[in-house]
Amino acid sequence: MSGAVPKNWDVECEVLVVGGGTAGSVAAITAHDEGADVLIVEKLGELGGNCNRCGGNLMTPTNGEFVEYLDALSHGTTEREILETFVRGGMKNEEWIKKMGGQAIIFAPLQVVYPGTGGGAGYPQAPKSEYMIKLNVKATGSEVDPPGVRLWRLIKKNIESRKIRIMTGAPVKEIIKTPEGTVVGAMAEKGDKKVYIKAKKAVILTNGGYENDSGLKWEYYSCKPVAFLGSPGNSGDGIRLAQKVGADLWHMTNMVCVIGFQAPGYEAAFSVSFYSPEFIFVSKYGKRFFCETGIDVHGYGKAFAYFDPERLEFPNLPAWSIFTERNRRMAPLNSGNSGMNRERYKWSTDNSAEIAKGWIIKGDSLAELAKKISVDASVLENTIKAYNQHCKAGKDLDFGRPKEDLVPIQGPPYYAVQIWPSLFCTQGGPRRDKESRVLDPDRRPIPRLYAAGELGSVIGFLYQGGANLTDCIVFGQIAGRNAAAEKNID
Amino acid sequence: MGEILTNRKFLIEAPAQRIWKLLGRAIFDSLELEGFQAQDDRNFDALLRVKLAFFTLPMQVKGVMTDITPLKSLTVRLEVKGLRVIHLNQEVTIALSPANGGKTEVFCQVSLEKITPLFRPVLLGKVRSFGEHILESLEEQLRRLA
Repeated sequence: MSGAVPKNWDVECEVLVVGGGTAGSVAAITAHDEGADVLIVEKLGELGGNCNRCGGNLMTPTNGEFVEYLDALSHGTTEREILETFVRGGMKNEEWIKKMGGQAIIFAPLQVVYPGTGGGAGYPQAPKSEYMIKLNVKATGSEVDPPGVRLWRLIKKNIESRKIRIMTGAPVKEIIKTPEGTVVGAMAEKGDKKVYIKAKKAVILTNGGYENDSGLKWEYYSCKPVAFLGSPGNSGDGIRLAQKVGADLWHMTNMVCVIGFQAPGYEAAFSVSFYSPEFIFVSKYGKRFFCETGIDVHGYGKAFAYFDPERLEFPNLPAWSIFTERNRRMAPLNSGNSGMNRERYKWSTDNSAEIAKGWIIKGDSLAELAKKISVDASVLENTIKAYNQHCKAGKDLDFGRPKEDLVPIQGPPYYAVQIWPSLFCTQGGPRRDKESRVLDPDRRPIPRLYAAGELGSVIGFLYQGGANLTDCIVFGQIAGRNAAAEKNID
Repeated sequence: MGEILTNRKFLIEAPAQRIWKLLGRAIFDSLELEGFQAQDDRNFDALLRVKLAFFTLPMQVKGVMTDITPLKSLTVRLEVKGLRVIHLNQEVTIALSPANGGKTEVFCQVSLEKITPLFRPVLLGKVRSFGEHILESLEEQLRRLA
């Protein structure tokens, strides 16, 4: 049930934006520029959401035919007209960056990281994959920051220059509807006080996914435990708010899942990657279970989720990555530019500090390593032997690892790090239409309620890197514009 | 454009798309970098161990990708520092162009932008041979991986 309409409101605005990440900020900027009086209410102490922690790339179609690609990835989970809207809007990403006062640059990385992501489509085998690039915000002057930080800095500057009102540290607990079903505001908690906020035009929900809610993860991911990397604020609030006002849900089982290491004492996982293909993943029984280098970095979740009905367990949770001395020396395992721990821990460049902490296990033989990680030594030895034979033959007969990535695991020493599927973001949330209106189970819009971004993203089945930020920008603008165009209620 | 130290041109039996995909890996394997840390999508720091006659000299490398034009060209500027007093800037450029029969012509060049004058007579030969080694290794890696 939604909250009852109060007799007195504490705060009034025309457009209330719930959640101050990228989508909320874009919606707020747009609604403000359309003339609306906007208030952003954020649960955490500062705005930014996942933007500060993500790769910062905007999936940008270069041709309208790119809708075929998204259609193929969606497997029928998103209506074609919504994907068309997404593509048309995404083609204007560069225009939007310019309008915000930034400069766009094409993201064209050399492929040196495993697992990694390229500058183009993550699934080149899908139709019309050639019609996309990734853009990010170009660094200005001598600044050296990850693209996500640059994007957030640009957005923040635009929020500040417009003097858009912000209320932080205030989780929204209720969306308030009239008995007739029209959304007219929300109730937030600020400390121990309830704050009733009247939204004369509309409420826009942009408060992210549920990667930090173990209950929702178990309900929809179907394997556990699953770590998280993104914003700690993304704990499913928007989903529960939307459900309470009668919204239908969609895309709840789609999520962006990378590989992470869950260190003791840290709330979020550390992303794990390697700069040499001298590594494999093995289950807790010491066996490889998929092609470690053939998947886009965002799509690892589906590989971990196998449940063994005979053993009544998830044999790949947790898994181990076995790697070589060369990988140990080449780069920190947590070299990625993303995740919540980026600001909280500085991983040593040669991984020595993490070996000393026991986060990375070292073995002077495979048998010793196996013993330390509680894996049957003969199984692990056979796994490495078989893998090395595939490398010698130039063909991975077990999992089809690309030829160029077939480099043998040689030692001693050998190393192992425990790996978990780690959610960066989720895609589920209230179902919406191409106008960003939140829909009920009969596909009727809930009056004056909009949504955008990670909360109910339009990406329904397979995630394409950069799609969430484009969703934030495209549907954030649509939501902001439509919300501002609503007539004021008394 | 600085002082050209060495260049190399060769044909690889693979299209530019394939070469581009393998290029990062080939460069890494050729340079044998350690402690690689990406600062953002264009800047990185790393450690390079240069083998001299009787010892290995660790050098701090600051890399900047000054040009990334997918499937066509790549330029990396490397600022190398060692022993506090050695300082040199090198630029590595790689250009790809399609050739007949689905092959790709790869042109690589190493140029010297700057070197501590005092050490120039001692280091120039070493820097040149290191550049030659990098390009030779790059060709070998690309042939093997393609």
